[in-house]
Amino acid sequence: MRTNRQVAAFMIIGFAMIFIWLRVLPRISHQPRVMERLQRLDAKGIDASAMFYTELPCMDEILERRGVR
Amino acid sequence: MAMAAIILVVSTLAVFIAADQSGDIVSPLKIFVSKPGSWTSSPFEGFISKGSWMDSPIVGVIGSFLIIGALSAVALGVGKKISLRSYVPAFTLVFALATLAYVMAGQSLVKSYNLEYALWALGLGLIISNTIGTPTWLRPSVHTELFIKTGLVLLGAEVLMSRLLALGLPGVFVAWVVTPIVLISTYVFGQRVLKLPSRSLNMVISADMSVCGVSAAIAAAAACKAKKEELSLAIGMSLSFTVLMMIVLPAVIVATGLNPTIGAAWMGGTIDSTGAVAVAGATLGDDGLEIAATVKMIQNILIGVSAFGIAVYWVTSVERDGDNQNRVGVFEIWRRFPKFVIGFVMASITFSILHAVLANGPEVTSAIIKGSTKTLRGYFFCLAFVCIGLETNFRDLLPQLRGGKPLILYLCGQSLNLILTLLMAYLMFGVVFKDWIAP
Repeated sequence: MRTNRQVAAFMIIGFAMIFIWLRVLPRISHQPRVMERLQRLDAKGIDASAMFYTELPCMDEILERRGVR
Repeated sequence: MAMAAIILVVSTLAVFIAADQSGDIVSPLKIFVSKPGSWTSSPFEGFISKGSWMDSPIVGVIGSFLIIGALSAVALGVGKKISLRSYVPAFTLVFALATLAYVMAGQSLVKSYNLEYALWALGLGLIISNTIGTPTWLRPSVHTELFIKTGLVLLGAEVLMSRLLALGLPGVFVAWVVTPIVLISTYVFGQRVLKLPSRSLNMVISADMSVCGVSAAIAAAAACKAKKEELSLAIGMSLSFTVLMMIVLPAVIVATGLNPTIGAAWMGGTIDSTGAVAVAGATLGDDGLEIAATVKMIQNILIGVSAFGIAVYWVTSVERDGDNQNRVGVFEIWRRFPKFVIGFVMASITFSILHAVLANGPEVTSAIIKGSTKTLRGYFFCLAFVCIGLETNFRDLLPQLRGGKPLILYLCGQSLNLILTLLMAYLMFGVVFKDWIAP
């Protein structure tokens, strides 16, 4: 049986996450220095969240340059 | 394992059939298998493409939902063991949470700091389970082990052995000689010196930190049958320190005037995550990015070998210790051996052969992997982490942190990793093969 406290905690965390992701992060992302960094990573084909080399867009080009099949 | 085999076979056939009909080596499944893309201002940017609606990720997300949902339903015996009526809403919500984790990880700023989907998937599950509690009706779709093992076999197809020599012997020495030394030393340190009560937690942290982060942790955890809380803890620590090292190491290299090639190899062998390695390597220029990313790729290829080694060690030694020191027979070893490791290795061998032997091997394997298997693999891992979060109570995580031993283990192991990798990088790229590594 859920208590009011548990439901309130869930809703507070939920609203906090919505606020951060829909307001705070986009605002920071549009700062000129931040935008420049993000565009630089994109231009180089770097996916900073890649977990494995197959998820790195620039890896194909690197392998081609190194003459690796 | 059957689910992964079906996905690999169908994906491969799809590429061959398309090539046969049109002459182009592409995967016809690509538009039906997709994850949300990255976004900056609004999450909708990650679902809708500016061009044709058929190219929009939303089509692929729905496709992934249907494919994974249908395959999982068959694997779980929906219709016999679980009713369709209970499975559909449960899987829909778990998949929605996984998609939400991708959306959270896809925000450009979050993404640029290597805060991967695994973190958010775990977090979403933990928030639900530790506030309102995981609803009972969600249980039919909470199958961590199924999702993880399927994802791991699919990952095997991406481990192409022919790429091992991408940087020649220097790359092999940095990535394949230092790594097992650090893994084994850290594990022994954890057992003999720190006396960590859980051997599996020790192993997962050692593999996570020495091999290549989250993917290695998942493989090691499955190979040594670690608890879900242990995997969560290892990944949480790894991602935290990865962000730190991604920023600090390049600064140290520049400040000390270290040779950029040696510095890049050093970062490739020590920073846990592939994406973070690329970011850090790029600060040293294009050559730095190339060397760092290639060293990390060679380390990625070690996942299969390390998972196999860990599984063999666990079944023949660790589990034997629990059996009153009696020798475990070959049949018993086979019975206990985690079969997904066999699937992983077979997928790797099969795709490595296709890659090497076929005339257009690289194009074919690339089309298969990038067309569908890579995305489905990611979704399976994401679903697994959501399930781990949904089944974990914070109270279960806290005992793992007792005495700070896991953190001490990570710090000591990573320190050894940094020292040995730097030494090896210097020897290989600065002395023995000094003039060799130019592309």
